[in-house]
Amino acid sequence: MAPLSASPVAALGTIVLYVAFVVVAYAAVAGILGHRLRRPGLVDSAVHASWAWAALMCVATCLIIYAFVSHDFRLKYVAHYSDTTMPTFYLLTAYWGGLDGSLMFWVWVLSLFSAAAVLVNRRRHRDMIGYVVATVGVVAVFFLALLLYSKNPFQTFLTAPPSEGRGMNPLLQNYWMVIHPPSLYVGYVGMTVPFAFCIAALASGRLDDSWLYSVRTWVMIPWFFLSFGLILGGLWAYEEQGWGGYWAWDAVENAGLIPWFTATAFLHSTMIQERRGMLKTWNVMLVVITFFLTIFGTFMTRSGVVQSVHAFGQDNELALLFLVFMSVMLVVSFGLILYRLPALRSPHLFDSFLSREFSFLMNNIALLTCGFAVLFITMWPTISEYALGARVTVGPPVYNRFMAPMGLFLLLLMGAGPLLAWRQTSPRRLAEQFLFPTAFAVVVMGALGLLVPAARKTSGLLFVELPLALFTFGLVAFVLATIAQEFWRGTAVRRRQTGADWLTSLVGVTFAKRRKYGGYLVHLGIAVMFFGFVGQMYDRDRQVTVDRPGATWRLGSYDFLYQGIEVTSNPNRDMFTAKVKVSHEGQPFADAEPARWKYKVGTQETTNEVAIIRSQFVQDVYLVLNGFDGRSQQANFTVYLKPLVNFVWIGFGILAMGTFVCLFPAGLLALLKPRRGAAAALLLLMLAAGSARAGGPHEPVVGGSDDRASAPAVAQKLYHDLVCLCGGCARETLWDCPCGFAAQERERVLALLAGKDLSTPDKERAAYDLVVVSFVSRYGGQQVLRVPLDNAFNRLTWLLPILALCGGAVLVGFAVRTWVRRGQKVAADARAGADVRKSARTAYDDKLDEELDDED
Amino acid sequence: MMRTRGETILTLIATILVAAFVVLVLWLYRWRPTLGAVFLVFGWMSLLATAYFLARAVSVDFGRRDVGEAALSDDHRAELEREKKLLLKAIKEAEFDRELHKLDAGEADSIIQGYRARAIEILRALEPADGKAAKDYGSLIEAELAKRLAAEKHICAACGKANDDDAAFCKGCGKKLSA
Repeated sequence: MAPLSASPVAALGTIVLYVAFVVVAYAAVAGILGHRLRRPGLVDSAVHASWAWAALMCVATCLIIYAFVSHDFRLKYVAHYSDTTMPTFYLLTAYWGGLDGSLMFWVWVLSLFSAAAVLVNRRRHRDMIGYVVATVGVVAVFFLALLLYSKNPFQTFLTAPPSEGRGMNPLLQNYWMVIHPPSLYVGYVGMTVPFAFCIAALASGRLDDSWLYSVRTWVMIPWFFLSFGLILGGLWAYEEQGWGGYWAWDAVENAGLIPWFTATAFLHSTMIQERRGMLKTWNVMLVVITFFLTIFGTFMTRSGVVQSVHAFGQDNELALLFLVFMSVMLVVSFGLILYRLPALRSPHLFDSFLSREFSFLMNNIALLTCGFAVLFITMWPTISEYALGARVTVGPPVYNRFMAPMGLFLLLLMGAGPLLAWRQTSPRRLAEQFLFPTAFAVVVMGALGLLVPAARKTSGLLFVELPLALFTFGLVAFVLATIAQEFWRGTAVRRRQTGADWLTSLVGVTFAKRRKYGGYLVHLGIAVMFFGFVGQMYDRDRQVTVDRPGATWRLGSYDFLYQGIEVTSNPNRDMFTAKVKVSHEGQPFADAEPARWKYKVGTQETTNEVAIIRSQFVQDVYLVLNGFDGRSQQANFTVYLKPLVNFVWIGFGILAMGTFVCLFPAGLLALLKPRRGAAAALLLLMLAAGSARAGGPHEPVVGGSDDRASAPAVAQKLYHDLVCLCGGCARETLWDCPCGFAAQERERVLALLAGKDLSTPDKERAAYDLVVVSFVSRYGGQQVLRVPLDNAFNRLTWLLPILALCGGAVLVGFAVRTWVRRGQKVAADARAGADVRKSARTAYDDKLDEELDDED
Repeated sequence: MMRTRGETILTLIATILVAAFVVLVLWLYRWRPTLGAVFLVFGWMSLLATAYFLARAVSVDFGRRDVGEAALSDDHRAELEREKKLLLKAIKEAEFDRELHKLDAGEADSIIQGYRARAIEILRALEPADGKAAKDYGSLIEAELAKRLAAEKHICAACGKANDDDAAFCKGCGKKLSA
């Protein structure tokens, strides 16, 4: 325990954490006992204790922020992650900049989420709210125990404290990075609430759909924050890391993506249970798995089991504690599911393969496969280390080989699913529904294929070369046409029903069936993002070294004029800014200022400040200053042309808008009645404007000596397939890494190739293999390769997910065939019964019609 | 919503405590508050909230017992209501799909009939236990009205004769009427 006398803030903070631990432990016990002993007083007490815990975590949060802003370096955590020169904004965000603080931040967010969820649901679910408090309480007890046992951010120095702090990692001093971690934390932590309701439903035996209905909102909120966190991580990588991309399948980012897949699957499958009372066991398992994956993600980023650009480092003790907690959690959760299995059985079955519920099932299987494939490939280096004793590097090509076809399949389902009706769709209706979207997709593909040669560019899909971009454009067109058709037809029906104008009917139908049409907007956002993803296939880059101001170079239709390096300084850092004039097709275009910032305190790191010119919406011009010599004004740049990248950010803006529509409170719908059409239209326009702004600002963002393009083709391939092990980059390829070590490695490649006969493809392959073997033997393992060697063991990286997918598909196919056959029989019986009853209309029919009239 | 006297006093005390702390912090910072001072005040407010919730947590009636059977019956009812609500939505959805031409009229009618059949079963199950059907609502109301009117007319418990409101003795049998 920290020496409490050292700092009043430290002493008070530690006491508050101890009290919070006791209070939340009491809440957990009282919640369970309250239900077991049928003492509602005890449950009330547990609820109030959980709110007291939330208030205590607010006290702890205020204390740690106070310590940061008042530069109380007597606290180790404050001294390690801040300094007196840091701007106030970053002092506030330093709270979650390190491991200890991030764990406390985790508990704080959990306490706020659970307080809100309990407040909203305590009356509606009074028969299980004690179990909800208890489940959240147990999770909180674990994290608070971690804090108090080994990761207390209020710990003080045993000796004299330093007069100046080490400062926060400069890479984290970026505005996107300020919002990115808390957004992901909210996504992670928020998943505890649905898990708590799921466990409460299992423990109390209340397994009807009511818990699911309440929980859906509490899944959608963290799902949105997970999406937001992931996209912010991409923006941060794009603007701060200077390698020209936004997603490199980094282990920490994957840790956020995996539960995103399972949560998305849950958001779809929950509709099947709500509509058809099916898949109850599947849904509880999805909730448990999603929560498990959030904890697993926290474990991955904090235990050191994976290597990442922004993991917190190796901590075996922490890893062991997490493993124990995760094991207990899984045993208890699945034990409860097994115990309640008879009550979870569903009486309903699939009526047809051509039904909405079946497409949702396919979507669930695809999403789960994606989640587990990413998990498996992320963990593959760790698995191979245990199995072979050598850690391999698994780079983006391995992920892309598997995820690209899965992404296209999901895109296809996004277009096809909404066209199917619940229960069954007749072949005639099917043709009617699919006609326009399919025709539109075919026309778009044909037009692009004929008129735009670049669209025919091929890429590896699984193990064959296909025009991937053209397929993607076609599927995006299919999804867009489906959504347009759904909105068009829905609006037409609404217009017939209400007699209102088109715009009012559009807004009316969107908000009256907001889950459906909000969901379509989310689909639209994802389709637009896919359009942006394809842009990566057309990226162009060039690295140049210029030896004096006035030098020029060219990339595509852009000319660049180097004007020199300007040196400025502030108390926090020295800034070296290159001035580059950019012209496009001979006309002045923009002034770019890529920079390198050298921080004065702490680790004195240097960061890249990328210059991104977004004046042309369809393409970014992206400049990185890799290195320079102040005296001679010599400088080395990498320039990238990034087509379509802005559609990724725009797509997310649309996704956010769709989520907002889905979560729109029912109470505000009074505003959207037909008579308020003008107000509704205005609201929609405001939303659209907000979404357009979410695409990003248009102002430029201020952000070695070889020309790789002139190297032989085999050398260029090697630059792309070998990773830089300088230790300072995120294991970038020799082609991408701008450091001096990478330049030496490239020279080594050229030296190894010198004198080799590269006249035929076979000879090139032999030379390639020779260099690879040389690098592997020099580093004593395959960690230097971006993609593991294609040998029997490493093929498992690709084969296992594919085999699992095929095996799963076969099993599901058999199971669903049985369900559909049984379901068709049950449906036929029900219809026969209904026909008999149809003739005799009773007073109950009138009552039912009255109630139907009240439904919108 | 009306506040109780206790809540008003509690709010007053909390306001005074927060205000006193704000003044204390301002005085400590020589009337030039910094961001740190703001977080100190937030911390103090959270501490007061902690005290309030802890006081509520220990002041509940721990001895109160739940009425299990009634809750179970309510549970079953709530479950049926929930299923009915889902069926209503499903019927509306099928009607909407029919309007969108995703379903043929015949298919949609068939599906809707299935949903309606189940919804009517639920409506029956949700009726009162004495078996009164939906069509009897009117007669139930009439019976209740008659009962109330009869009560106002002061019925004699012995012979059943209706008497005037202010009568002390029955005009049929002469017995004393209850007050």
